[in-house]
Amino acid sequence: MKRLFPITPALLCLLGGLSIAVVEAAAPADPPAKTEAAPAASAAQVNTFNRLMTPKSDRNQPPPLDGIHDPEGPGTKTLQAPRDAFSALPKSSGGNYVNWVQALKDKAINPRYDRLNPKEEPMIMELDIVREVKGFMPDVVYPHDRHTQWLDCSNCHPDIFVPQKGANTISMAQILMGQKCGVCHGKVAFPVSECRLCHSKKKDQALLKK
Amino acid sequence: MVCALGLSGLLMAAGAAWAAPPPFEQKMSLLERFLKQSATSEQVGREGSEALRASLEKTRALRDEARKLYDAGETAMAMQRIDQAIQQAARLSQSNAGPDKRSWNQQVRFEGLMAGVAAFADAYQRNLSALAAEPNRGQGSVPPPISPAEIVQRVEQAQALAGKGDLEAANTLLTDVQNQLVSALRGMLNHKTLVHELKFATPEHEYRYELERFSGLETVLNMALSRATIDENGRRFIQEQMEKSRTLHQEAERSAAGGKFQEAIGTLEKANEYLSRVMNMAGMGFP
Repeated sequence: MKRLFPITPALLCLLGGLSIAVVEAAAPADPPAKTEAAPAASAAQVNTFNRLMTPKSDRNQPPPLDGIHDPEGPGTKTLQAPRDAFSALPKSSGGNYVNWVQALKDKAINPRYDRLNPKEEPMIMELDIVREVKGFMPDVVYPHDRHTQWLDCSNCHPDIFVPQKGANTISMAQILMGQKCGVCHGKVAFPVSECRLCHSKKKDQALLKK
Repeated sequence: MVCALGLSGLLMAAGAAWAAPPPFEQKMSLLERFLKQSATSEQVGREGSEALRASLEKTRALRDEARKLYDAGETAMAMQRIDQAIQQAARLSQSNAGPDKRSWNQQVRFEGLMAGVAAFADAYQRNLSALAAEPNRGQGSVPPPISPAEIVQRVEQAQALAGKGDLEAANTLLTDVQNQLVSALRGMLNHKTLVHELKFATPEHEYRYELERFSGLETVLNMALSRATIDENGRRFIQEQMEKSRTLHQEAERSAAGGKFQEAIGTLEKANEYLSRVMNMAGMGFP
């Protein structure tokens, strides 16, 4: 993780990503991996990775109650409670109820791009990746711009996503188990329960009827 | 009372009584912990260089100034000063990191950069070829900022530096190469939308895709059910739908085992439809 937020470490937030594809239009998409079985996961296991999917009343608890910090630790009670820290930020309906993208746009927060160099600026990439999905479910759109406002390319590439079209298999089960997009989404970025935020490109209705 | 409430009850009760101190006091408390209890502070005070000791003194001076300002009611100025003190403390902590930790950090960075440069160089080459093949866009339209030979040469230089133990210089060199590659990729791909088409090579691939979808939907639903507040009727309905989908899933597996993948796909599609129907009911914002 490359950045540090000057307000509070609780603001260390946002977003994983899918993949940088390449312009190899002539190359056919690789078929899904034949035997890459979805991780077998019980709901209990999965919730370990998805703390932002807890009931609304349990989210943004003060540090002594959040299940992350040691409630007996001498410094725990001196930490700012997320509900206080987030109160002035734009709201969202999921995750920790903060619209972080909007907060950045509104300059409500001013995260440092580099931990050691306060003057370093992000290199924003305006590249959308669309991943088609079967059936009526809208296709997934991965916008690089919103992610590169927070993250360096090397945060995701090549460890989490190989920057090559067809080189990454991504499934909901993987994400839920904290892999691929789930490295961030569900932990510090909005969870998978916010389906619409990723499945955002509606299908052509006429094509669906065929 | 304790037994009746249980641990979660006790935590909730503690939460009701707990109130965060004012932000200034929170920051001051963290700073005091650094100055009075941290290993860095203790080590610098005992055996630190003159520069590190001066830095520690500066941190203390900023803390004292912040306290005075806060006590005088100058909250905004006090917050500014305490932030400066915390930043000073962070710098001190970084400067005081032992040689082992610095070396370990550099080694991790070196490995990350080597992998990154290889991946981005590969992507750059592929995109360059693809752009050259595009009508109206010759290879010259995106001038390579760095030639493949130059990349190889610099990577070899970096490896040699790392071999001599100068990881910092190696990383500086690799960072520069990586930045140039990323910058070139940005020039090629900016403002584009790239589509990963969904194509299946064989019915078996499509079956496996549906199987993954089933597994994903079922896991999401189980998780949502364990957390969401749903009334008894709703919960029963969801479980009925899930039961139907499981039956269909087993049927599909039997078909696939017999090599009847088209049939298995159709059955799994129905199973997934049952699960999709109850997503919103389980508190998921299903489109």
